[in-house]
Amino acid sequence: MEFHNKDVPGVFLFSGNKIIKQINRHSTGLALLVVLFLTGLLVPVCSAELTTQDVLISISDKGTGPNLAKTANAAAALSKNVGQFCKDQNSNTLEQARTAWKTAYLAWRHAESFMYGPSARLEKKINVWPAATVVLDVAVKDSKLGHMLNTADTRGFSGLEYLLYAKGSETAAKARCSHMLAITREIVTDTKELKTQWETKTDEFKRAGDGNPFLLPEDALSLMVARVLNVTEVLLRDRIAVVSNFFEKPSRPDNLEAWLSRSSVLSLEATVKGIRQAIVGDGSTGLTTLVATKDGLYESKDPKLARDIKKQLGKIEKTLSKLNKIQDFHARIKDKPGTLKKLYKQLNTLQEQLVEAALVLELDVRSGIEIQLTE
Amino acid sequence: MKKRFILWTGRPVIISLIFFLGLALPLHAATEGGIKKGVEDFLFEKKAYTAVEDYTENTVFKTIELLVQEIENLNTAVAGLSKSRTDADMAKTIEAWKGAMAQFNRHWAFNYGPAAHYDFHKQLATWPFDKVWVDHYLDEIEKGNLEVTARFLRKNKHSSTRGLNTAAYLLFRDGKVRPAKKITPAELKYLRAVSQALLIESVDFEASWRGTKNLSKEKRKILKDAGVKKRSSYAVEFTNPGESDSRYTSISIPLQEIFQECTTVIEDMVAGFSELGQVQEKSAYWDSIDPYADALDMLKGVENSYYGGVDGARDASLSDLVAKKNQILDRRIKASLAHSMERIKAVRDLPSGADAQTRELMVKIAVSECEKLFDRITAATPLVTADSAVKPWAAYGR
Amino acid sequence: MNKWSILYNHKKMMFQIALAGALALAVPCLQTAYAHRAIGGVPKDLSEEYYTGGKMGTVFSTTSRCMELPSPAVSADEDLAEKFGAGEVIFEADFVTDQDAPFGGLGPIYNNNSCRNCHPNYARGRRVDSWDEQFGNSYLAFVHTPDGKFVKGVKFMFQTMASPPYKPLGKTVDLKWHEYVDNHGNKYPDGTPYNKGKEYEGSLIYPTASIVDPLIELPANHKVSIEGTIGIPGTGLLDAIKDEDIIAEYDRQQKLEGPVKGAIKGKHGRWITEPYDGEKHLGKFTSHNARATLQNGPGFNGSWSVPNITRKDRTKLFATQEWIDKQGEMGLDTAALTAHQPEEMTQEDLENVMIWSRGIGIPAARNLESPIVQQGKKMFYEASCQECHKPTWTTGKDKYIPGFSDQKIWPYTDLLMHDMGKMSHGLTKTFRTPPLWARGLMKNVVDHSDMWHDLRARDFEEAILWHMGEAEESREAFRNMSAEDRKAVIEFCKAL
Repeated sequence: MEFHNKDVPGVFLFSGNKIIKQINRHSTGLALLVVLFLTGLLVPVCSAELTTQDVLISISDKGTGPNLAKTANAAAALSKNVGQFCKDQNSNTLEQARTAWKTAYLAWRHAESFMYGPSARLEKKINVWPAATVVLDVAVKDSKLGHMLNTADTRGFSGLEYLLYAKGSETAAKARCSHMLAITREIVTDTKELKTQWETKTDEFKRAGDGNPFLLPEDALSLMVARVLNVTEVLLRDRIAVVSNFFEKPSRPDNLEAWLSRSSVLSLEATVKGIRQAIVGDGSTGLTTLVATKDGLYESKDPKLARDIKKQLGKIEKTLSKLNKIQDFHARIKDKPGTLKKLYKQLNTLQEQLVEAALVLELDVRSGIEIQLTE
Repeated sequence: MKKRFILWTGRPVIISLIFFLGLALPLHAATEGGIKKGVEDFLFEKKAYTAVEDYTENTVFKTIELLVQEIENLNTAVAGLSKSRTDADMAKTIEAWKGAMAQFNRHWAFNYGPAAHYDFHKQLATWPFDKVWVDHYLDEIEKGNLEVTARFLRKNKHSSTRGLNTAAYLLFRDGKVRPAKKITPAELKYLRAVSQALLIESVDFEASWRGTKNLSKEKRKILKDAGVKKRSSYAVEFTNPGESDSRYTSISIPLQEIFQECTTVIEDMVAGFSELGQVQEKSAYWDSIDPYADALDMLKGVENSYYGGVDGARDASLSDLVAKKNQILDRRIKASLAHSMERIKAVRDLPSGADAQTRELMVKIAVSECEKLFDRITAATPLVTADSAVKPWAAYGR
Repeated sequence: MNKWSILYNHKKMMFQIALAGALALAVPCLQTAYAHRAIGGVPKDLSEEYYTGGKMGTVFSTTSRCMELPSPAVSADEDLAEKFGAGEVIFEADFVTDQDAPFGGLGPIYNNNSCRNCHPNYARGRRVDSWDEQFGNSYLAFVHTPDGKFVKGVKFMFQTMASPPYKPLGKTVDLKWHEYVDNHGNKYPDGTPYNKGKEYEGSLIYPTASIVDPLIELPANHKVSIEGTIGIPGTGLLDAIKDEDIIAEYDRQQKLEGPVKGAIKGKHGRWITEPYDGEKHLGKFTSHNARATLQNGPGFNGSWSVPNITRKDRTKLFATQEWIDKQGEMGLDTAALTAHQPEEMTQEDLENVMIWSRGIGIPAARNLESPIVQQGKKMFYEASCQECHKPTWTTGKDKYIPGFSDQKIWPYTDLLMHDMGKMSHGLTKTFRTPPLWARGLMKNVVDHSDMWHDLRARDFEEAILWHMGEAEESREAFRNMSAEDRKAVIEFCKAL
């Protein structure tokens, strides 16, 4: 494991090339000597290039596992705080419950890029946006309508956010609290299940290529990249385009995810952080390093693309940081529907770069149109 | 881009484009979008015609030409073997047989049209061959009751008593090359008749695409001497769809033929290749001499169809058409072709002591790669063949 | 649906090679040519007439593979699709003599070693000059007395092949083609010769056949009639037509004025009691309506009788005792010929073959709205062609391919027997009206347009001109049409 943390052959090789270029400018003869010297020096390093398997291990150990654990822990804390609030309803306990919700929700959003494979079913259950607020308003007041609270859009993080933040949440009626507790219990169970499921599947993922079930390491990596691409797609389509309604005024700020808790931008940041972690990893054992160093059978390695992806993530983070400074983001979207346009474009570029990365790595990630044409 | 287009295009095309833009388009497309679509369609259709023409000329013709050449080599080698029966002659014969088999397997990707009409695949390599009949004929030759000739084999209703698989039976035993001296005079006579029949049938295959009159004088003589009927050129109909003397109504149909056969080759090859997951105890006489070479050459045929031309001489291709519609898919297909072949080679190159589990896994991986290739070409097919520019529904008046 | 997805559970391929009998391929020889699929898609706004095989039986393709594609009813059902693929492999196979080999068990006496040889590219066979032509020659020779009874000692299909050391019933069949000139000197009333502008202008031809070196003595008055095979596509849909509907059509024709009186009685009488259900069914398959249902029909029996591949439900050789005796007389051991035969094809394989043969889709009609085709349709009806070439039927329930149930189909046949005049008499005087669907695609599929029961008609024009006997009036109507209308009728037939 140590090897993957620090001894990064890809970076060494890259530095070597740079040095050669500089020396070349001054003296061809000297350059030749240095080349000969470095060739001898680098051969052992080259032979230990980063492999897909290395990336899978890194993602698993540093990304998926810790993120899902963090999500489960934050959910447990949320449950505890909501329980506290329901037991003793005051502004203090409400604030604590709200803070716990934010922590849990942001942990969830950060972990989005790691929810592949068995996670898909639970993900849909836990996070359906937007919440059915009208149903929630009516059903939590009338126990006879309790059956209406079984649908996914009255539960999960969005349902709970509404119950914690909407008007009247300060004085939670008994029925309202009962539903909040039910939701948090469910989130706890589901996030725990996600974590457990991953733990049982970790070895399969790390050992991908042995046929159980992944025939090739690239098949496992494809899963992750497909997931990240889907996360970018959800960002673009559901979290930005639908809200901003760029081309048809007025915008729909109420579609802005997590606006009640004023954590919309924070949650976008959390998702992008997750993407960075999934794609760049620790900077040395991530997918971008693979893109920069690994030739395929048809495609060639693309160090520039790897750099561009990192740069693009930086740009996106910078934009988000600026957006984060806006006081009332919900109101701003209403006034200026184009507020998220820059972010949209930047994310769109990132998505295109990730598609290119999947191609360079010759992964089996298919576009929706390809699936439709095949099936 | 416009400049480049004009520079690269010949005068007839420019004239027809002007005609198209000036006369035809206003009838169909009054809007700017309509004109743009009209021009795009025109260019795509033109590209499709070019791809089909180049495919015919540089993939189909070339592959069959090489097949005939390899079979001629086999014929010459067998003649040499018949004279001196040395192991050196045998080695030459084996090489020639392998070359012929490789080219034969590369033809599968265009097993439609004449090949389907007249079963050239069976004429050239029926599998399995009929050992009982072959042994019977050998026995009869031995006894002096039968003078075996190419004519006899071709007129005797059994393609399973001739062809490349029958030749393999005479040249190999238990998957190994037979010592030249072990081949009996009767077997040599039989082999000679088989290789001569192969030559006639491969030239006839070429005639079916090119048309008999377009063959070289030597090839025409081979067919005439064998009493083979003259054939008109299928290629002319294939490359001129929509013309009154073509059986095809639009360029979409030849493209459909090409795509359809490519996926069929992969699917059928995979079904057979899957069997290689089991370690064999003992080879049977009907087993392939080299199933890996078979699979690779079949895929090479698909690759040639997709890239255009043949190895080392590429041309306009299906790839250009797919890329025009979806560049990502085109790259995915190309990567998949490379991976499929590489994985088959990996199975082939397994050390002899590799355990059954490893072997099974490697075969699974190869099959999985081929399935991906199949899926990708399947996805690309409608993008090209069902595009309105190539008039997919012309036969239905649409 | 997410925009991006991934293929990580690699789906099982739709078709897999089926292994006949007890074969076990350790190192297979990789062969292809099976498992073609429709490119997909259906053009918009087509009238129901385009759907020749109904919505569930029609495929939209005009490639050379268009007669071998699974129908939508099959493609939509994973189980059927898999069996279809497995059955197709057996149809394509070349059977060999060695029982232990893949597709083993050919002979000892037989007609051909592959179904495909007689049904080239799944379609009708072509007219040949020589019996020895292997590919596409679909002729069967019937050796019979002048009153249509098979000569003693021969099976209904005269077998010219036998595995060594046995000898077949005859060395070969000698085919001869003769010119025929009708009462009008092979000219239309407007003076145009038949087949104008073609290589064979002014000519009509018909065949005669004789057995070369028969093994057993044939009576002096024996006749040899030849017949070509039918195409496979669409037979499953015809099988789904209800008997009562055919009887209703028969009743309708009896009430017609004029000579058209379709016969419902086939070679073995009107009703055939099928062994698999003990029920009586109406004869409607083969050119002589000699078979009632596909489950005991041409493919079901042909897969046994043509190559002599025995199976659990066909444990005897398809051979006459006279032939066996003759082998004995020649000093050959006949014990194996009379013994209980091994199972060379499993019942599972048979089931697959049947699903495949029933389930092939029929190509859609083409270009029906073009003016010339419309004109041809009008003239087709004016010449009363539709009296026998009944355009449409609605199928009943089909338990084999459920999707074929209740389909409105357009085969252009009444499934009844008609007398086409003395020049066409062969084994019988009457022949079943053949379906016209997809005939216009024969050139695409199998590079010929030969028609008629003995394939004497080289194209539609000749086929129409051989309509004599009951169809004489329609023939005359065609002859008296203008050249444009004659062309239009042919274009209409090509479009079906």
